Amino acid sequence: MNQKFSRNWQLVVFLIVTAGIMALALSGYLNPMVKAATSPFIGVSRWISTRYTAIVEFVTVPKDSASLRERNAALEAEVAQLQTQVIELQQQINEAKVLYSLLDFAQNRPENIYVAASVIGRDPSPFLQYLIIDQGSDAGIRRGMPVVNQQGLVGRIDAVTANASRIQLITDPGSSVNVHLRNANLSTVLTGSLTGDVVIEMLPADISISAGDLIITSGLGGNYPADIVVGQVIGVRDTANTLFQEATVQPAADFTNLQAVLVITNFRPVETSPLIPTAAP
Amino acid sequence: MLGGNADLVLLIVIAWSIQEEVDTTWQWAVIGGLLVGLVSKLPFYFYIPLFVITAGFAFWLRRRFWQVPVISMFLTTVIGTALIQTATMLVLQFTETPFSFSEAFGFVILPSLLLNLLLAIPVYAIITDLARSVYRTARIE
Repeated sequence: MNQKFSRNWQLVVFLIVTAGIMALALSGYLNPMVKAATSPFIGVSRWISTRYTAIVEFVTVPKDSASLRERNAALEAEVAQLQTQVIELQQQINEAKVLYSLLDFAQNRPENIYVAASVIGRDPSPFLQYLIIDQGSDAGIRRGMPVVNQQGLVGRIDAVTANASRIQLITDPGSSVNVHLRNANLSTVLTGSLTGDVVIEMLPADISISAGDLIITSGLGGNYPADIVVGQVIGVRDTANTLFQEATVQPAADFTNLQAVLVITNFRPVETSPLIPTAAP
Repeated sequence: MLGGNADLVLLIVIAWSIQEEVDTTWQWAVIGGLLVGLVSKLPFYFYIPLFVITAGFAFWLRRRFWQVPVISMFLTTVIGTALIQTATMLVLQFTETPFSFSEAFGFVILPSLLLNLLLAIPVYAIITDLARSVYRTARIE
């Protein structure tokens, strides 16, 4: 009976002590004691963990390093491939922009039939301003056909093969284009030069010309269709006591960055040389 | 410099011709002249004799400046460029392309000459390496 009673008291005391410890722990009063009791173990555990990690890294890092190197090389290759794709796509975007602008130009002039061509070369001689394009007689191109781009007149076809053609630019020293000065209402001839400038010489001194005047093809001579924009006047040389003045022209087309052009295939130049009088023998 | 062009094909032909071990001088001069002539507005045969003359001059010079072949490179570049540009200018004058001699000299010939001289050294270095590798391989075989 006494034994059973003391066991019950022991259980009650144990429960009370346990509840008290739990209450103290929950209220935070035991934290300093717990910290003081566990800190040696934490220090030992940290020391062992650091050494263990170092040993594991020593054993496994070479493998990781090799796999990382492989991964790095694969990623670098992928980056290079993507950069190539980006460059190709940028080129395609630039080409598309040029083609869209050429298409706009062609749609605005539905009376003409065009063949689009890419510029693939230039004449190696610095004396000559000629371009080579990737379309020839197979595409219906013939000698003498005018060549334009979205900005204006480029030149005319000088020679043709089956798959390529050569264009004489209006800046070539041997080029001459019959043009019309809109503001002055005057038809005259525009010529290229060795320096790349395009000029109109022998303009009557009494004609009023100023910078910014628009120049279009006149259609005279039968070499070019009328009303194609050629450029605008950027300067006039008018010295005193001279009969004529000279105008320097800024071509509408940018010849340094020509990528694609349009050949007007339904225009055939008129052969006027038999009509030019020759000296009688 | 705006009016001048560097003539890389001419420089390559010259650099190839002054290599000590090379014996295919005129053949490459003909090929080079033909390649340039096919792209140019001038007749396709126009550049061939000019390239052959230039290559022949380079071949003649390489025996005289064998210790300093760069001198041969420079001299032949000057002579070859002047020869080709002057011949082009004369042909265009005969075909009634209007430009003045002074304009042609100042705007085309002189800038082209300077550009070719600037590029002469790198082209010579590359072609020398190429010739060495080609003829070393030939010797090994």
